[in-house]
Amino acid sequence: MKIKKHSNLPAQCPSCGYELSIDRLVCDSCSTVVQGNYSIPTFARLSADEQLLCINFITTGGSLKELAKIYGISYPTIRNHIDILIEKLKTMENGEHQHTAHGGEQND
Amino acid sequence: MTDSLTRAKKKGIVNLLLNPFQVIAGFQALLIGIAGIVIASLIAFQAHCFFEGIIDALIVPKVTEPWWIFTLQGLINWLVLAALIAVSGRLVAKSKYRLIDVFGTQALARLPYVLIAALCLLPSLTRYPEYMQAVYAKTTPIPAVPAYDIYLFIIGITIILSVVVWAVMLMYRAFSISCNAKGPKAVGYFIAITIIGEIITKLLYGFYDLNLHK
Repeated sequence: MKIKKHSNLPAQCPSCGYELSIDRLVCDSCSTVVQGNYSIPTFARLSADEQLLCINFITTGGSLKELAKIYGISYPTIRNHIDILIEKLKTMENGEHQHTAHGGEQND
Repeated sequence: MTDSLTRAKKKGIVNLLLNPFQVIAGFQALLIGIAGIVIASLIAFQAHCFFEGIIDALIVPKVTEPWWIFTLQGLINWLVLAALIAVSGRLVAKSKYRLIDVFGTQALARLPYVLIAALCLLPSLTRYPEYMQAVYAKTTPIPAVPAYDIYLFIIGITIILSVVVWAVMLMYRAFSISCNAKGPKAVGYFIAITIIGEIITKLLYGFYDLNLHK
């Protein structure tokens, strides 16, 4: 099963490159507006292709063989792409932990 | 990453020639590669061309050995490099790798040797060196060679060297893809492992008396 990719949510400011946050959410059904300051989740900060790779990985049950067939590339190639994605996610998670730690210190 | 994932899907002829391992690996690569090694050895037998090392190609005037010696050499050259990578690739690999990918991609990387063996069928490649040897050694009689032999010899050698470079590039890319190894460390490792492999094959051929151009 191949899932279509959607438009990409920008995670960084196109002007200065700083991390964007979500300020307003709107309900399409009843027009309720929710306002606050929400950070963009890690998954949403990935590119559209990377998100699609994650979704395809889960829907194939983690089978790299099946994933390779979907993308039409070899097993080691798709494994290498998954490894790159894992490194990126770890870097993003480490960045979030540091950001939370510094934010806690400031609140104290 | 996304651009390379998209590029990897393109199965154009250039991509297939320069880096087929993005789309072919594992058992499929192993089958195609071994078929190529056998075909190259059969052509090499006809062309009197020995592959006496991981990247060597040597043409001799006459051979008396059976065809399977050539096939054995081809298989040994493949297995030595692949085994070295399989055993020590963890030093530079960024993640776990499958042995079938290491052996399969290295076998596929030897496909250019079919072309090298075919090029060695050119008579000029043996005739012209024999002529030059007779001239410098002042042996008689000096074999008569056509005037165009020198040109065919130079063209043939140039093409063979280019194909050898292509084959070595494929061997490196096979290692890089199968072991997920990149950068200067991976290049240095590959050079070292190729030199070690050359030494091992030379020792093997010398020890088992497979050094046939005595």
